[in-house]
Amino acid sequence: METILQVKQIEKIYGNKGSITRAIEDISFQVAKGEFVGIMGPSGSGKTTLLNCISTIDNVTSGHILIGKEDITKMKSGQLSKFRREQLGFIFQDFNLLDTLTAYENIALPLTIQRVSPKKIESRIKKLATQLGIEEVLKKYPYQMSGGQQQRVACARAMICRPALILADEPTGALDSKASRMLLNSFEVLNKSLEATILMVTHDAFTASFAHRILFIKDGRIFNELIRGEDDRKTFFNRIIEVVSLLGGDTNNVL
Amino acid sequence: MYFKIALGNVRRSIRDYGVYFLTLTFGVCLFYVFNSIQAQSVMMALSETQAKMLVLLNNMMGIFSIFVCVVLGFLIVYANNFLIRRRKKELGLYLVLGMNKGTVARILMIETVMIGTLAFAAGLGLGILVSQALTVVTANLFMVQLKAFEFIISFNAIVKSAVFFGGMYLIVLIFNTWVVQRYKLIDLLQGDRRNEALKLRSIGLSAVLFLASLIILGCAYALILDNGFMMFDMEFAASIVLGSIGTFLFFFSLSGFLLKFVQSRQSFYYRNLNMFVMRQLNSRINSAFVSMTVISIMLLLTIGALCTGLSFNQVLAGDVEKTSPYDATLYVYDTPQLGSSLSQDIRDQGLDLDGFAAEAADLDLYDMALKVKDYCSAEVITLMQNSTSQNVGEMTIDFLPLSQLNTALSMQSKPEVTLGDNEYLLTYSMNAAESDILKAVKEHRELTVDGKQLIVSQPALFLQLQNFSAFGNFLTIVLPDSYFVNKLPASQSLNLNYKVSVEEGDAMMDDLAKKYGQTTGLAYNTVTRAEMFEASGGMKLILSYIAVYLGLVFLIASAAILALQQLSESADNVQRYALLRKIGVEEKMIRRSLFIQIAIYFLFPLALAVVHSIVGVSAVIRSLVALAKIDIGSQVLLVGGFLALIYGGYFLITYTSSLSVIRDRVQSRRLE
Repeated sequence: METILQVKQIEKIYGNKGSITRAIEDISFQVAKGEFVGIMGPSGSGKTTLLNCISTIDNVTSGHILIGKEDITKMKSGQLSKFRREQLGFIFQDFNLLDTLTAYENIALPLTIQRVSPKKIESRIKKLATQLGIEEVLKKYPYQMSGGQQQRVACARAMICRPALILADEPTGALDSKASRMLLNSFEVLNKSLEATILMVTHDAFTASFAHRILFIKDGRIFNELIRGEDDRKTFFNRIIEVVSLLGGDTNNVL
Repeated sequence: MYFKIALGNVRRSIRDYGVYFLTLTFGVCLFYVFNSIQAQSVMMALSETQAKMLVLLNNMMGIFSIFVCVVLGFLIVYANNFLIRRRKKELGLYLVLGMNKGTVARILMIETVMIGTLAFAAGLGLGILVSQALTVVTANLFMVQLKAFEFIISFNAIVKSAVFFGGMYLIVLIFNTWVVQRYKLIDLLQGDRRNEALKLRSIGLSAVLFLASLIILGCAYALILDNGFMMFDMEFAASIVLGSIGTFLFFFSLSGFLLKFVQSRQSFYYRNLNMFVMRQLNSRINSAFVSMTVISIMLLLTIGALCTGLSFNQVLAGDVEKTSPYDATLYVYDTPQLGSSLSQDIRDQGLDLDGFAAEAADLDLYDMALKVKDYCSAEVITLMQNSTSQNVGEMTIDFLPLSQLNTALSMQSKPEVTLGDNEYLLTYSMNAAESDILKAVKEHRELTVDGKQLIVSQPALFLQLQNFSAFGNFLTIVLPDSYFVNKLPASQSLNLNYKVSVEEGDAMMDDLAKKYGQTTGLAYNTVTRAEMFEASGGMKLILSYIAVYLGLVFLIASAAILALQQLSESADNVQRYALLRKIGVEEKMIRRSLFIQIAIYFLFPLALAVVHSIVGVSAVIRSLVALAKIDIGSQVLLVGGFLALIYGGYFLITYTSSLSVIRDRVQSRRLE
């Protein structure tokens, strides 16, 4: 299967001579097309840094990241904007919709900056909105929508350009359990019927249990990897919990 | 310790304070400069009239300074309110850490005082430098020499500035304390969440209101053009009220209307960040329309003050050489029934007229019972009516004997004229009746005097008959001398040219007039050219300085409000721009959208103000055109220069600092 994302021995160091923080020590992994990968880890483990590096918002200290066939660590800032625009979709914890725009306009934004014609914009938004169940809220402003609706609109915005990779940072972090479940179902729709490749950072085991494969990160290294395989979600959830408890009670399990 | 916190805060928020500081400095500088004019004048060789003019100027400046202070006071309160709002979270943190509100207010107070003191010092320093330069300009306008250049510091003006600005700060301090007391902790801590609820108006309604505002403005324009700023009556009041309402509605509905309009052009709306820009404007303009209205009106005052203030100059002080063609004119009132000419009567009193006058020519105007309305058109009468309260149509036209005209012409070194027995000649120096006069000459209009028919055959003469502060000859008809035999003049005056120096001549003229007035008991007045020169210089000075003073203050006040608003808005929008970057919008596009937003905020109030002032200024000019021809080209250039420099400067500062606000915050966010 085609590989979408290749992370090769990356390292990220913050700070200057006085104080150095190794946010990422040495991480390598691959994501194939159509995969739904979760990244878990405790606070400070480096998972958000990893996501920022992959999303080209931050740059790595050493190592390489390839998305498709392009090495993003070697791109210049002008190329990066273009790359982000065309190859990546983002979903954030706090939705990050523009509150001055309607849902429709929020979803249209990535297309307008690529100068897609209004007719094409309309047909693409209509189609995607139906799949995500947000046709009714298209004319509403973010403050008129529920959190779950806002997050699904954010999904639509991330998906509208048919990116190679969707990066989700704690997407259920600000949602209640019902809204979380609806959102994750939407993720499954994106993943299965639209063949979206999703990389999701979370520290919530329930959210993570929707993924096909989970990478556990601790202190800037990959600590464990779980593959769902033929397990149903509940079994997978229990396996995740086991690893999480191992991660948490680390006095007995010094790495 | 609080001092340390305050100092740190000032340093940290230097960018927020920058515009504020700059504006305060300008304010103090202007205040000092225009209040120190009199003190500066010691280095000029001034005459008595000029000295009086300066005292008058100083008093006027004092009065206007109170007004300026009120404007600057509002600006400071407004700016402070903005700065506090930007720092809600920080203030909330102090309270959470256990400070009481009094202490927080004290920290704010120290900051305000620190900035204020610095700005005051900087402003005074700048003011002292600028006032030296202004002295040269003053001397130039007065047409006097500088005795010797001295570096002058006016302690009077410093004290005055200190008192005024100290008072203003006191008000700000009280206001700040009140604001801090009023806030709830929860609101402070969540201050950076959306500051204002998005109130969205029906866009259709906006469009209707927008059209309504245009209609209302149109009515206001029609009223003011009709009124011409001459009568402060109901029409004038109605025009001002309608104009204000129209301006308010215009900004109230503008963004909604624009949004509606742009949305209807889908291929434009859904391109690049246009949609984002329009929505940004629409979301903010709901709260910004009040300030945009105020700014627009302030800009109107700026442009109006500068343009008309400087145009009046031309009317009042036009060209003294032309409005005062003789060294002196002696007017005698009440009694034209002297029996002899004025010059003869003076000599008969034993006064030495010929001792200093090379030429002394009588100018007697006669009343031939010809009313203005019987000779001039209704348009001219209406035009003339604008500048006087008397009933112009019922007034009589003056008649002048040919021999006196010729003497006057020769004194002004102009060729003499001859008239046939049945010919008459028209003279004028005001513009009001020009159209009528040209027409009368063209059609050789006839005139009946004492039952005899006369005809105008020669071109009309542009001629100022007596010394006056402006062109004063509305229309004077010249007839051959035979028509005046056995008639008494309606008014008498005497034009003189000296054979001695101007100073000596003026003194002797003054002396002679006094003596003549005492012996005959007649009311008299002398108008000398030298005095007109000084007075016109003085008036020019007073009007220009007041116009520049008020104009500049309004200009910096409005520009500063806009700048602060836009800066704070950029800070509020950091997250939005960060998001745009994440979804791959290029820097160039972001810069462009920011530029457009700020430009719209700066340009729309200015554009409306310019339209308002074109109407207003042309109304004023239409009234003044009766008095003199006005060329406002140079004023327009000057005002344009001021606007471009100050308003444009504020715009650029706002744009570049906004750019760095949204850039910096994003980068520091990255490091978190």
